[in-house]
Amino acid sequence: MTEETAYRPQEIPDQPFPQEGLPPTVSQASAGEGVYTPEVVKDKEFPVKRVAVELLSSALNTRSKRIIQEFQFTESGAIQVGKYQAGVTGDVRISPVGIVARDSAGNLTLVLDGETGDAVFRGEIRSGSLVSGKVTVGNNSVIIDGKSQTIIVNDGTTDRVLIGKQVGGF
Amino acid sequence: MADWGFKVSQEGFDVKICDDKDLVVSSEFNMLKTSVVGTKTPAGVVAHGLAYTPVFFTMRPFATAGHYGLVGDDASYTDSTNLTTAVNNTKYYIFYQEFE
Repeated sequence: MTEETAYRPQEIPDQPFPQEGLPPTVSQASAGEGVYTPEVVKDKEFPVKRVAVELLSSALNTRSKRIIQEFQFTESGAIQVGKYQAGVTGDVRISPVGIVARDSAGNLTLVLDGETGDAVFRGEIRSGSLVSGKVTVGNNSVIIDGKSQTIIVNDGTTDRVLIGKQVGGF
Repeated sequence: MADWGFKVSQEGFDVKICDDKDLVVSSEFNMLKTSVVGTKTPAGVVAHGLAYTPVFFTMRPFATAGHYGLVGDDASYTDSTNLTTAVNNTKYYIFYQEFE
């Protein structure tokens, strides 16, 4: 016959909470003096919140996306704004040799040659006034030359009309 | 020769270097600029208002209404004050250009 097993309830001893029963923290008095003083914790100020007010409000308006004041730029090799994708988007590239812009069809719409100063615009140029030494309209169809003080109109083959100055011409 | 003006050349000629005969018009050459145009009825005096004797054209009428003769084929004349026509209904053109 098998021996019967006697079962007893498991006893779980009391466990104090982590902070329970610990004595309050006090500073330790220096040995020998026997004077106990509470530990003094100095007040610490919250760090002051700093916002670049000058940058946001008067130099760069991030809401309207406008640059309000002059910025100093450090040297850079080149900048490309946008990424050209045929039929989708054009781009603008700025480099030491000039500025080039393309439309989504790949046409050069703006070219500024940093070396020669030549500029090419695909679209219209509008201005309240235009100061230029010489203006050529079309394929030399009309040439307005401030230096020679003449306006020449070409019929496609020869110069047909002269208005202005021609030494001994009149 | 002056240095300022305007000129237009005939087709095929460079206006800057072509001969005068190849021009259509040039401010180098004096052109008749009309001062007064009218028909004098009856024949007589027309005050042209110019302080000199101007170049003028007159054309006298034929018997047929609306028909006129050659320029100058009449006895009209001018001086520094008036144009005087000799025939009734004479057409006249007085120009700014002065007789030289």
